[in-house]
Amino acid sequence: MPATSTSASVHATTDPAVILLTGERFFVRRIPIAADSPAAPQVELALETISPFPLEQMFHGHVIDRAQRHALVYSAYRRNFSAAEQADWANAESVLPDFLMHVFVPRGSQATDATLHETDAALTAIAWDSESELPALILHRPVSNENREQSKAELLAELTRRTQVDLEDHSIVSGPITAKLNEKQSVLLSCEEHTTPPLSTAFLAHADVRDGQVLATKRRANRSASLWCNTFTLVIVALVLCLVVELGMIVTSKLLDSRQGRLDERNPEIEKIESAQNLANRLETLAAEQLRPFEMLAAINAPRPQSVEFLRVSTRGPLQLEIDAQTANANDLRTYEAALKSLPFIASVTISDSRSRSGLTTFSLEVTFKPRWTQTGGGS
Amino acid sequence: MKRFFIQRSKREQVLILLFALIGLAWWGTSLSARANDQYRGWRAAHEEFKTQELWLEQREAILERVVSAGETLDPSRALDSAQSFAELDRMLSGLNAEVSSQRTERTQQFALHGLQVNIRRAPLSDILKFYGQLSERAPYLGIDSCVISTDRSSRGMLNVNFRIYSIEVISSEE
Repeated sequence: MPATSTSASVHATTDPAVILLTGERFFVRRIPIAADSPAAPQVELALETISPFPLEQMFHGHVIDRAQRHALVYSAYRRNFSAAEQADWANAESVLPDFLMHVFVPRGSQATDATLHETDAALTAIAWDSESELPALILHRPVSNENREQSKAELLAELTRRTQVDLEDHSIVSGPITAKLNEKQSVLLSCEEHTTPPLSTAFLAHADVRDGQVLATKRRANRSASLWCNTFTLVIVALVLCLVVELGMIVTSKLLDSRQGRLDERNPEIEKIESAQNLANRLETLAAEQLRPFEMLAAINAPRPQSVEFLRVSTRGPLQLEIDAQTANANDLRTYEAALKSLPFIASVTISDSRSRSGLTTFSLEVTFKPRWTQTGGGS
Repeated sequence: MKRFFIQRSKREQVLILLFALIGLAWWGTSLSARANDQYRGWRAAHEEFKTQELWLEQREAILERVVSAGETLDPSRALDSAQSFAELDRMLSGLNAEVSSQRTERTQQFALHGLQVNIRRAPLSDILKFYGQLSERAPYLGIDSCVISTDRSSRGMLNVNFRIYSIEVISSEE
């Protein structure tokens, strides 16, 4: 029986985050499943049927093929694993049977239908058929140097008998299977030059043999750790962002100073223009209308009742007078207002702040003259 | 960094995160306030720049307006600051008055001098006499504003505060 063999020995270390269990303790079967129903209940039902022990006494897992028509199920009796052996399981990312390497390693077009994997202590024979990319059968035999050749022959014979797979060509792999986690926390299984693609923890969720409760606890812990880690990452990113903004502000502050300097340089020139603008306004106002306070005062004095006395007169612009006045006769206030309003050169009259005390009424008078009022009868 | 964090114990992780959050809050608050100030500084500088640009764009038009407004003025009758001061001093002789000069607005062709005249306890006739003399010099010497009030201590007397301007025509030889 010819065989292709790879003999390079590999000494890769196994990552403690992934625990590989030797395959000879597992009972392995490929079962057909219905693609339109959830796989997990179908797998559990099948395991309960074919497993030699009740399901609660087993560690078990499964892998589904791409067409979701077959599942490779495997289970092992719990007592086959000592408490010491299980001590690290809680902290591990994944606990997997080692033969899964053969399941996940991509098979090229030249791949043989069977592989014999030899280690110092065991032989594993794997057979594939055309129904699925999952192996049709995986068989294990413990082996010693004395009975190695005989065991090998018996194992291959049994594989042929049970699968009807033609074992004319089969490949031989030797050495231990190792596992490691890459930087994205994906599992890589390898033996010699055969390496699986990165397998994410989520992808391997059903392949893990630990109890669902343990896995759920583990997932919660992972989520919590991930949350902490992501929060820390966010804070660091925010701090880096602050640093970038701080540096940006140093640069923009220098630019702002420079711009402010340029504006300050131009300020004297702008002040000159503003001054010229004021001067132009003043000259234009003076040309149009000059303030004539005493003429204005004389104009509003004419209709003034005898009782009204001016205390203070101030100008506001060329056309307005503000007068603080008093009268002993409050009625004269309205009479005076009416008289002022009747003058043709008066635009408006406003009396405000009237107060009466001890028979004397004080008030404020605001009189606005019409533009060019002197030409309309005033100021003569 | 992430590996460093993962490898720490839970207690250390909590402390690291706590200090990092405190630092972030402290820095972030200060940075946000300073960034806001700087943003407002930029806005103000931008607005000032736009205003300056507007003034510069209007420069020629404003100067033309000044020249145009002053075209009717006779340079020989205009008064500079010292002349206006002396002229007012002459007009106010005999009055209890005080004259002080104020700010001057100036262009290449004209200057507008501001003067403050305060007259205390003067009869109306004297004030009208001063006002008459002042009006004769218009528009080269004129009143910007005035406040007339009766003197409480002396009946019939007035206190008057004038803000007076004088126009100076600056000759091209200067």
